[in-house]
Formats: sequence, structure tokens, C-alpha cells
Amino acid sequence: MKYVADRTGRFPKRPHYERAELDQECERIIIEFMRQQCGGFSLPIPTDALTKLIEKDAEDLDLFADLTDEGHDVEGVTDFQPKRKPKVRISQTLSSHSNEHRLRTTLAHEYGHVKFHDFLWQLEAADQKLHPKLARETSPKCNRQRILDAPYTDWMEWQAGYVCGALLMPVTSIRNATGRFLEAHKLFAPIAATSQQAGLLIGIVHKDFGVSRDAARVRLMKLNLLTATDLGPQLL
Amino acid sequence: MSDDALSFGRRIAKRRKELGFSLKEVADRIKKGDGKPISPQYLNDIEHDRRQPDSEHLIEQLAISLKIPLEVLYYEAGKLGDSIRNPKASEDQIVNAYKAFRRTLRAPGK
Repeated sequence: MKYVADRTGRFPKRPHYERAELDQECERIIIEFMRQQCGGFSLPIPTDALTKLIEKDAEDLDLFADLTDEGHDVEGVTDFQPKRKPKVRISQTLSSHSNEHRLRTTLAHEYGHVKFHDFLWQLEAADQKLHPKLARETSPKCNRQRILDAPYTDWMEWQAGYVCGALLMPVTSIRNATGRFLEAHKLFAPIAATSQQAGLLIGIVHKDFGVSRDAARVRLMKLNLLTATDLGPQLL
Repeated sequence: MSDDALSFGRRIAKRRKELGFSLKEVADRIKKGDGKPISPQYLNDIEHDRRQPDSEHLIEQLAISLKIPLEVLYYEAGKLGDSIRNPKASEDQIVNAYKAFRRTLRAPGK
């Protein structure tokens, strides 16, 4: 991680993580946590493991929060607090209506804020630049469209979105799953995202990792296992 | 924050996390009168002090599942519990019982 200028103006400087750094750290976090708390690592990662992981690092997790006043389509909020752990609120519409995939991605996304962004608010608090009201106002409110794949310019949402994919689809596991698929179909990566084979691979990731097809596609694209470029026939 | 400052809901949540249970795991263990488990949303609302358990039966099951003394949960919920009630108690006995209760609670904690 290194610090770079924060062009959003939210902080004087902001953390920049390489994708590989986030992949390694998220894989380590989820594997270690599941070994300690769930009797071992397994896929798909249970939703209960995600809630317990958040509860380990947050002061509170409200799974049935009323977020109607937080803005259009807001499904997750991480409330940072000076000198205290953050509080996470998840919209009751996700938890109540069996939107399991969206619930899982939102939980993993908010964990990204808890784990990788809380220290920024604590640094501000240590400098006496932050009071509780301001901390609450500047805390991320995450709407549905940006949970998985925010634009890179919105670095905080982009990082939380990357963490979301890296937690639910740990890098080694998804690379192994893709490797087996490529070998079985005599293909090599990256596969054109619009191809029939890509659809099959997305289906495998969707099923094995307990994520939506959209989340699977975004993760495979970010790892350059799928590409938006049309590559033509790829048989070896 | 000391245990004494916890509300009913926060005490339940704190203990659940200490025991390593998820909200759903505890909700599945707490059965209503009809034998069906309570919903995770109901337990979530209790933990966030948006609702109170609507029966002593639920409080007892929470106490057992989370290994919290039943008396502590009755106290936090502002209930007496059926076992403490004596229909034949006189008014003086009830008043004296409350005095003893208040005296004990206001004494320095051990």
C-alpha cells in the first residue's frame, strides 16, 4: 500500500492498494477466519461467516436496518466513528426478501470499508479534525449500482467492491476453478466475455462460490480471466 | 462499557458474539409457543432495542441458549418472572421485597 493524493477531496491523502495486495490480504483474512471460527475453509463461504467476520471488526452489525433516508437504492452503510469501531447497517430489504446473493455481496463490500478504510477516520480523529457528526456524514453509503463495480475514480467504493469479490471468490480458489475449466475445454485465458465458454465459466463460479452471475463476471474480468476484447476462436 | 450499563438487547448481542454464534444460529434455537423458531429479524430487533421479547418463554430460552442467568434477563426486560410471583403475598410483603431488591442493587457491586 502507498499513499497518493485524494482527488475526491475527502482526505489529504488516500491509500492505494495494488490488486494483488487486496487479493492476498482478503484470501488470508477469510481463510484464517474460517479455520478459527467455522471449522475450516470451504466454498461457498457461508453467509453466517460473513456476518461473524463483520461483527469481529465492527462495533455493531444491523442486518435489518431501515435505510430509506440514506438515499436512492442504498443497501449498505458503514458508519465510521471517532475512536470507536465502525457500525454497519444493511438494508432490511436484502435480509428480508431472500436476496441472498445481493446480501452476500453487500456484506462483503461493507467489510471492505470496515477493514481497509476505518483507519482513515481514526487518523482524522487523532488530529482532532473529526467530530462524530462529520464522521457520520462522510461515511460511505453504498447503493446497489456501486456494490460490485464502482468507477475507479471513486476509489473508496472501487476498493470495497474489489474486496467484495476477493473475499467471496478468493484468488487461489477462483484461479484454480478457472484453470480446471480451461484445461477441460482446451482453452487459455483470457476468454472473450461474450463467448459461450465465458457463459459456462461464469455459471461454474456462480454456483461454486454462491455469487450472482454478474458478480462472477466482474471478478473474472478484474482478474483478466475474461476480457471484453473479442479474441476469436481459441482452441489449442 | 461495563456489563451494568448494557440494555437487554445489547447484553444479548454481546453474549451471542462472545459465544461465536451468528444471529441466525441463535434465532434458530429460540422456539415460540408453537414450536417454530423466531425469525432472525425479530432477534435483530431485540438486539437493537427496537422490540422486547413478548413472552417470558422467549426470555427463558434466550437465557438458556446464551448462558445468561435468567434473573439478569428478567431484570433487564423489566419483568418479574412467574416463579417469583406469590398470589397470596400481602401488600407489606411485596413492599418489603422491593425494598430488599433495591437495597441489594444499590449496594456496591462485587
